[in-house]
Amino acid sequence: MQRRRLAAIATLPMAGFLLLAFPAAAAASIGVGIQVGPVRLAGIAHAGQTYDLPPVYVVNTGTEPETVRLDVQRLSKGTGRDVPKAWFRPGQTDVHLDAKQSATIPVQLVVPADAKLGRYFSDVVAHGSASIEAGQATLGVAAATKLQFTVGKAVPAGFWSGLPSPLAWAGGIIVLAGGGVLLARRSGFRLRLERATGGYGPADHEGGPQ
Amino acid sequence: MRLLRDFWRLILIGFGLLVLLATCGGVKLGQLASEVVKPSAGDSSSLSMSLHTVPTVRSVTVTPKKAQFGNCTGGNTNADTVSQNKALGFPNGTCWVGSPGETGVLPVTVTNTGIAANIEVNGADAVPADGGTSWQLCNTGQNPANACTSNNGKSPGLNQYLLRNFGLGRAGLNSPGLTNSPTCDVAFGSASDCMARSGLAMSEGIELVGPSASADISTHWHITITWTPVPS
Repeated sequence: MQRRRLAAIATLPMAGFLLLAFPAAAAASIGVGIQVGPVRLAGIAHAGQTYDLPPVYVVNTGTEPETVRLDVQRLSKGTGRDVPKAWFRPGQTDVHLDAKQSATIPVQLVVPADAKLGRYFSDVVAHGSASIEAGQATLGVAAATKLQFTVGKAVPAGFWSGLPSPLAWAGGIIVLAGGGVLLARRSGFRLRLERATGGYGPADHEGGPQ
Repeated sequence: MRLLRDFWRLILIGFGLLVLLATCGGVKLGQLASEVVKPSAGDSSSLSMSLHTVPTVRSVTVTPKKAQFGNCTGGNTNADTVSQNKALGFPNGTCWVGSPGETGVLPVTVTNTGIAANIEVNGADAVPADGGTSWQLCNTGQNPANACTSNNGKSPGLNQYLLRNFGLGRAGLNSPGLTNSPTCDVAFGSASDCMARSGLAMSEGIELVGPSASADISTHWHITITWTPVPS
């Protein structure tokens, strides 16, 4: 009798555990997400240069840990040349994410010297991994966001090419103007501005309007 | 007068040098200005506020993680290559994940957990456990991406297989089949429109039609199906 009672008491926590564990197992899911905002390069890219793109936000929306890998693929509609896969270089090839965990992955754009000029358009695709077992179908997930940039004509190499162009121009103009003023003063050239004492026309006479 | 003139020259030269340094050294003039014109503590008061925005993530979630092919039919009885319950037969045996129809079973749930997006799906080559010759995806219909080569284009040929996902009411069972590139998931609408609002979930099943013959003798094959939310 006492043994039965003990068995019943021991069964209760086990049943509770099964009740809690089974729905959790049934709701196991895999998922991945990526930022909605397009990955854009600020400014024009030039052939033979490497650029830091804005880091890409990814998130594991499933209940299982997974590894996320970034790739480039043309999926959504848009105008521009396809971005070759080799041009897109993630800072990390595989990013491990626990359930609901997110990360930002640094990415670089490597434009080769023979790149064609024009607009480029593709998608950054985040692939979520799932454990693989032979003989079973594996269901996978991925998520895509747009990748856009323009390749323009390269600036000729030289001293000024290394400077931020608007500031360089402004600095150059100010220095030249300063030099010009100095030279003008040394040469004895004088420019005199005078303000003549003037009135306000006929109405300015004493006595007011006639 | 001369002193004043020299002073003016010095000011000009100094300003020119400053600009040159700023451009060469990458020092932004704006930075200098912001450092100089800092408001004192008593000049202004601030109001802290927080703002919530809608989620800006494009994501999809699939449940369950794995599915088993079963209910296999077809094949050649005389050649002892007829399908068994969970084993695909040759030629052109058919296996299912779930079952179609009104009383069917749709064991895979695909949920758009991000903002509105086109839900697309793709398959991949079937890879044998021994790493030998894969089966390529093939398609039926008028403009197949990769045409099936058996039975006048209606069935997969040598080292080909056909993969279809289907939804409620047998939706998708007459589709050309999945390709290696993502295409609209028919369970979310049609082959041309698969826009899903945030939170929309669809239950799906999968049909697999095997090749007329396989060059690889492996009895275990790995199949992958991937769902992707794509910008509309």
